[in-house]
Amino acid sequence: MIIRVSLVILLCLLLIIPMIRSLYIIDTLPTEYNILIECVEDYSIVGGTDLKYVCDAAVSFRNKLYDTGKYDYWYYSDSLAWPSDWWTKEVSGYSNYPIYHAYRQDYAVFLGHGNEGRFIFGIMKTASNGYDYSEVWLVSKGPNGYTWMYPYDDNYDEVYTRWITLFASQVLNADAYPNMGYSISDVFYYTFTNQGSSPACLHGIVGARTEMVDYYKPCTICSEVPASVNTMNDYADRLISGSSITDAWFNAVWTYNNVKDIFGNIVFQTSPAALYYIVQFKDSQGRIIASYDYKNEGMLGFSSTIYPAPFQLEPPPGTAQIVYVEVYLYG
Amino acid sequence: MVDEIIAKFRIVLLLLIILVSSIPLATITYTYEGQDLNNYLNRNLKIYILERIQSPREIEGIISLDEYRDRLNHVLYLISKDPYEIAQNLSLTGTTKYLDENIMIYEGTYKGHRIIVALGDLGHFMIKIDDGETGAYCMCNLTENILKVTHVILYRDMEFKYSGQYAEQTAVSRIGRICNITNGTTTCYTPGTSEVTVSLINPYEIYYFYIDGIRIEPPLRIRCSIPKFNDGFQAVYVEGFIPHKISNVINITLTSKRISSIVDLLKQENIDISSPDELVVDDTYLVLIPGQRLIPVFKLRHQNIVAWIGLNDNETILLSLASFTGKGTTNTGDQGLRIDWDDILANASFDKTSTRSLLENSFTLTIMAIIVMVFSIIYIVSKRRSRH
Repeated sequence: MIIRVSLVILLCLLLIIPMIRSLYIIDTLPTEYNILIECVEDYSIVGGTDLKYVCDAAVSFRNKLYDTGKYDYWYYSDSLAWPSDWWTKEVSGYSNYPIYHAYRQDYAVFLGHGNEGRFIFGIMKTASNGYDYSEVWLVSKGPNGYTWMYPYDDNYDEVYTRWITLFASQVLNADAYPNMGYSISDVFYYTFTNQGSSPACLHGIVGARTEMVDYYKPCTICSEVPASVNTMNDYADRLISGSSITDAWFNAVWTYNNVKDIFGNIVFQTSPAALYYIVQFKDSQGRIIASYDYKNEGMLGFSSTIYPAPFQLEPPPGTAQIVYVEVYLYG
Repeated sequence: MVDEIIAKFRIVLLLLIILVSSIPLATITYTYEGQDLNNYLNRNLKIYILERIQSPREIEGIISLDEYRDRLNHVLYLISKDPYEIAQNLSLTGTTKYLDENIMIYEGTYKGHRIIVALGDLGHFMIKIDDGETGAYCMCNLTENILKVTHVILYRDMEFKYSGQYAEQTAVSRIGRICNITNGTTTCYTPGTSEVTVSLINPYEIYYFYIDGIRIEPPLRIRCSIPKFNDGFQAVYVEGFIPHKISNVINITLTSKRISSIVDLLKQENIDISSPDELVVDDTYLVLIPGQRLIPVFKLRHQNIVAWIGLNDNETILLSLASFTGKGTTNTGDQGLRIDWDDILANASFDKTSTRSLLENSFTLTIMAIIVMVFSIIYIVSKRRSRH
C-alpha cells in the first residue's frame, strides 16, 4: 500500500515539475508586448564564480517595464534560466519553440557571465545532439552548431526577437573573435541570417566589448556600488523615455557601468557595443533613395521610431538594389 | 632692481630643477604577462613626492614670478603655436580642488571661441575649446620633442609614449548582402570580398608619461584639429597629468611581509584566496594620492574579481575592488584612469579674489579721484585769491 501511494505521489510530482517553470510568470492582464529576462548569479553547478547583483538588476529592469503597463514578461533566474531558451536547434520533445522561448518574445535580455562570442548559464541543458551545454553562442562553435541562436518568427505570428540585450562580459569583443577563428561579421552570418541562408529578423544586439561590472567597492569601509543595478535602471528609464535602444544602452553603460576608486577616479570603464543593420535602397544610378538605420530604433510602446524586420522593409518605387550594411558599433 | 631679483630667482629655480632632475633613479622594467604576485617579491618600487606650483602671492614683492601663468602658457602650446596671445585673453574665474590639489580655472574668448582651462598645482590640467569637438580632426603625432617646446620638464628616466588612437564611438561597417531588383525579380547575393569601413566619432589620442618604466595615470588625452579649419587651434581638447616637479623619492621594497599584507587585505574583503600566487598582476602604474605623492598601484585579479591596491611607504591601501561578469582575463579597450573634469568644474567656486582686487582697485581709483579733485579745487581757489 505504502509503495503504491509513494509511486502515485512520485508520478504526480513528475507531472507537475515541468509545469512549475511555466508558473513562474506572474499572470497579468494582457499587455501589448513581451520580453524574456533571464539572469544567473549562481554558477556553482557549472563550476563558475558567482555574481551578486545581476538578478537584482534584472528584477529592477523588469519591474520598470512592467509598471508601464505595456510589457508582460517571462523572468527566470539561476537554475530556472536555461540556455535552451535561446538555442536555434530545438530541444527534443518540442515540435515548436515553447511559449517562453526567446524567439517568441519581442525582446530578450540576459544578465550573467559572458565570454567572447557567447553567454553562459548556471545549468546545462541537453541539446538536440544529446550532449549537455551551458552556453549560447552567437557563432557556430566548431562542428557542434547546436548551441547558437538565430531568432526568427517560427510560427508566423509577427512576433520575433527584435533586439537582444546582453549584460555579460566581452560577448561582442571583436578583437577576440579571430582567436576563435571568426570575425564579428560571423555574428551576422549565424545569429542574424541563419548561416547566410535566411533573411534577417533580428534588428540588433547590444552588449559589451570589454568586461562588464557587477559591483565595485571603492574602499575597505565603503558600501558596495551595484553597478549592474544602476546600469539596468538607467537603461530602462532611457528606453521608456523614448531613446533609441543603442543610445539608451551606450549612455547607461557609460554613466553607470564603471569602477571608481576611493578618490572618485574612474579606473575602469566598460566599453558598450552593438550590432545592427543599415538598409539602403538604391536606384538604377546608385543613388540612395531610402535608408533605415537601426541604430535609431527605439522600443515598442515607447518610441515612434520602430522599423519592421530588415527583410520586411518595403522597397520604395524605383528601387534597383537593396544593400544591407552590417555595423559593429562600440564606444 | 626688480628685474635683477627676478633674474636671480630664475637662476636659483633653474639650479633647483637641475638638482631635482639629477637625483639618481634606477630604471625598473616591469612585465604584465599575467605573472602572479609572488613574482614581484623583493621588487623595488618608488614613491615620488611632488612639489606644488607656486602662487604669485606666496612670493612677496615679485609678482611677475607667476608659475601658474608660466604653466598656463606652456600647456597652451599643446593647442596653439601662439599660446601667449590666447593666454592674454584668459582670466582667472574660479578655483576648486581635486583631492588636495588646488585647481585654478581660467576662461576667455579667442577668435570667437570659448576657452576653458583648468590648471592644478600638482600637474593635472584640462583645456577645452568650445565643446571640445571638431569636424576637422587630424592626428597629433606628439613626440618628446614637442613636449620640450611646451617647456614640460622630462625628468631623468622619464619617457613619453604614444598609446593609441581612440574614439568616443567607433563604427565598423561592411556590406553584408546585396539584392538586385530587375523587372520585379529580386536576386540576392553575399559579396565575396567586402570593404570594411571604420568611422571614428570624436577621435582622440592617448599618450603616457613613464617614470622608471612605470606609466603615470591618468594619461594625456588630446583631440587634435586641422588649424586651417579651426581658427589656428591645433587641438580642441586636452586633459592629462604632467607632474609639476618631483622633489623627493622614497624607495620601497615589495617584501614578503608587504605581499602578505595585500593578501590579508583581500581576505578581509571575502575574496577566497590563501596565497599570493592566486593573485595575477594585470597592471601596475603610478597615481596621485593626497599628500602630494605618486604611489605605485597594483591591479590584481583573482577569477572575476579585480582589486586596485596602492602601496604607500608604510601602508597598503585598497583603492577599489570590482566584480566582473566574465572571467576577468582581459579588460580590452581599457583606456586608463580618468578623472571627472565635468564634476570638478561643476563644483568650482567663483574666484572672489579677482573680484575683490577689482573692487579694491575701483575703491583706490575713487579715493585718488577725490583727492585729485579736492587738490584741484584748493589750487583753483588759491589761484583766484592770488589774483585779488
